[in-house]
Amino acid sequence: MDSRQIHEAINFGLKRGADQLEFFILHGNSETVQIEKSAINASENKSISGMGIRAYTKKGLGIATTTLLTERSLKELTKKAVKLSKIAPPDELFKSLPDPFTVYPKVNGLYDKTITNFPDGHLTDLAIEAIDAGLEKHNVIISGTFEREVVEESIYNSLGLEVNQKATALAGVIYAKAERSGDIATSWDYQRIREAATFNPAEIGSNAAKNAVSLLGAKKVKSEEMTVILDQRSTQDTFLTIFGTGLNAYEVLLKTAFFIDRLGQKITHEQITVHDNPLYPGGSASAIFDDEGVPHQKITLIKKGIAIAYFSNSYTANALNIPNTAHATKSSLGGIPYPDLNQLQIKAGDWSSEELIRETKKGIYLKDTSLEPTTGSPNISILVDQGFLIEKGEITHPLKETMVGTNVFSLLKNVDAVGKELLNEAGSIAPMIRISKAMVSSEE
Amino acid sequence: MIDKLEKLLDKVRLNRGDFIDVRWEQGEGLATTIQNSRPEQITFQAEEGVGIRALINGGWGFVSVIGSKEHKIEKGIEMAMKIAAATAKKTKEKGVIPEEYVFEGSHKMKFREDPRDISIEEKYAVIENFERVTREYSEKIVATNATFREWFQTEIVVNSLGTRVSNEYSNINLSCMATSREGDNMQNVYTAKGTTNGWEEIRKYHTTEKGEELAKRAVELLKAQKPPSGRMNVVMDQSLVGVFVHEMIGHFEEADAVLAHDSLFEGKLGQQIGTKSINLYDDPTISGLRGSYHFDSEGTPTTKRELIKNGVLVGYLHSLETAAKMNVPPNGAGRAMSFNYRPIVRMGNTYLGTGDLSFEELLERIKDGLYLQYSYGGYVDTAKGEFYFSAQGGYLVRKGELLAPIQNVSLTGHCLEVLQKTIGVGNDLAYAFPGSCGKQSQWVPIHAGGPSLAVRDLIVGGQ
Repeated sequence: MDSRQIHEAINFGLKRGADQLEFFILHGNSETVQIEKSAINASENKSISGMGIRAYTKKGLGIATTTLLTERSLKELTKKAVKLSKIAPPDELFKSLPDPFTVYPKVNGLYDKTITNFPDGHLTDLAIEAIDAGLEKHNVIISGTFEREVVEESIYNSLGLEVNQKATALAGVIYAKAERSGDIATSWDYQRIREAATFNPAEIGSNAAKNAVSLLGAKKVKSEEMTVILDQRSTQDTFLTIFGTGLNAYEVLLKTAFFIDRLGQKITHEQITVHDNPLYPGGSASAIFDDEGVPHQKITLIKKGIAIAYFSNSYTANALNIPNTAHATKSSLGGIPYPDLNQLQIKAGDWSSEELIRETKKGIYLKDTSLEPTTGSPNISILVDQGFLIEKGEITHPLKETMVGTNVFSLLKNVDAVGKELLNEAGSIAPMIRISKAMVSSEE
Repeated sequence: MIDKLEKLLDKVRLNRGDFIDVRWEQGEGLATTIQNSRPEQITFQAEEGVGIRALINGGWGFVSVIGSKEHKIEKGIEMAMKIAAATAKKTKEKGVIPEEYVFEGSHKMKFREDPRDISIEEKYAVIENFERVTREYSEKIVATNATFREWFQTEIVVNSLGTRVSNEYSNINLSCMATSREGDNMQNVYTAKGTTNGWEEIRKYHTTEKGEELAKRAVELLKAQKPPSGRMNVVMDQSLVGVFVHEMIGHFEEADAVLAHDSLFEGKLGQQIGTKSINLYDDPTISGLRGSYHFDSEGTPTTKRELIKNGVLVGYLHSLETAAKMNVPPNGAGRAMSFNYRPIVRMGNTYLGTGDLSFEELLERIKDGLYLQYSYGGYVDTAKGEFYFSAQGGYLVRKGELLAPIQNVSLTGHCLEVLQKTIGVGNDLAYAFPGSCGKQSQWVPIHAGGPSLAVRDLIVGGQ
């Protein structure tokens, strides 16, 4: 599908009465290798191409989407989107799709032709490398998926915006199951990168196996309030979910944002500074523009514990009269591009990981476990998938059937230490943090 | 289409034990949402493509093709065979398909009132009322979201053994979410109706009444107590029981997990795994539920599956391959999300068999504890048996009576322990949880339910 065909479709849609139109087109494919029982199980080659059209008529929105990329389907789909936009009642908050931009940032490391040109069987060989590394030192059962993706994204709108970007991704996730005298433990590890040279499948396999074995002998604990230490992945994921709702301009519009009317206020520890940076070279969530074609930018969400900005898309920026931070994100071809975060970069504090553990009298240490709020609520109640009890400054044993409960406001208020060792996973950067108290539910 | 696919397969030369299936799917549907009185979207979605699976020398390959052009399908078959042959060289355990199960048949959608004959305006009016009633119930309702979705698809499966099946499937789903807020106290509740029947089901669903009920729950939860923590006795409503049986039992029943050493139920067939009051079924043949279908994505006719009988594990859910490996007949549980995915073992409508206790008798059984209502979903680690799920709210129970309301709460424990700690099964069976189940990145519609259930000593997590 070329640029001429899209321009013709835009003109066709405008002639049928639409005020504005947007075409979002994906061209690409993915190769997947499945692992089961510590061996290659199957290989897949799938199309991830398709098209989503947004049409606005008198502020009414119609969307049409298809996997078929033909000239005929383009015309039919345009007709359908315009028809639906005429049926839809007006959304008075809608002002306009984004105008075209003249300057776009340069983001290095998004496309690696090595990944596009993988020789036949290379992805399988990477998966086997992960399996072998997992089995080398530990008696575990390995499963998982390795995936290679090449995608070209094009966005056109009737105001003249026309952008295109190409990206590659290479990802591997390994699950490991360890068993000892009827005791079973499971764990995982993963990597998702954009440049083949930084991919280390052996590390994924050996980490997953080592983690699973370390979780054998898990015990329940007494239910009580205690300190909770989050490793770097737990911090990244927890903050992504908390600020992903709490400072989301769309949630502000809905009045469900946790930090509505709190910009400029201190909401957490002064050592917490959080940026969202989709411009990071080679970042797994990096891109030149958002899903409406607006140039990406690095923004500061939290500075020294103070809430600085909401993140927005064109709709919420216009509705709330705030800057468009280019966070429009489509969850699917037919999805509305709501604001969403890309990859957080959280500043380091001054505590070493040893100090964080050593200075904790009684607490739990969470590994790769997100303290995410329940949908539509600031309440947090999660199962500890990978966690350890800390007693008198030492990790004593892994945990099972244990939950952590708190809420977003208490969690942020109770952050009392920030780690100095940062983990940088393809642009997602985070330290460990310590929460002075949260409710731990289990029962010995 | 069925003849076209068969002709393409006829051109392929296979060795004994090799296998190919070609699955064409065409689907379309509408989705519309209203959020906080604003029309959010009206979306039309259409897809067409072919999923091609090849088993060559015991290795599996899968390729998907957009559209249905012959030359593309032919090329897809070639590529699937090539990938499969390459996989065979690296795999340790050979894949297998039973040669004796060949199916022919077709199913066409039938409705009392075809949803496709209902205008978009009428569909929109239904969610407009649902959202408005919910929002206008109280000023404390700060966010509402009402959605209507429908999907209609035809799936044709042709395989190298001779299977020729054409299956039509549809579902419609109506849901509403409400968030109440007082300062930093926010409560979120949700309700949904999902069916494979026609528009008549939506006419029977009273959105005014349901919207008011939903909003009332959201507002009342603002005043409810924070839930307690620790080990306690619990009565679950039918919606929670639905999630409980789906997550905590159903996923262990999937034979692909059993064969991959990833299910706690491995090696337990014929064993007493729960109290005698536990009976579990998965039945996609029940008319009108969200997880109902006639043929699975491998062309196998589906059937009612008895999984646990009087506490004894009596069966698993099977695809063609898992049935062959366990030497039992397939039972139609090989489902794929779309042509772009391989069929894997999935549930349909999973439910706990009814018991004989009234709700009051169940409260009596637990004496002190919690009555928990309305699921928020959950998940299970099938290898370890550890589960997690949460309720939107409930009540404290003291001396067998409902006391004060409590806010949303989560539960955890070990699956087998819970099956053995069931102390009462209600007589009020309801298929109360219409949902979607995710596995290996594939989401399929399911339904789950059961009667209210009393269980002792679950671990409850507060805030």
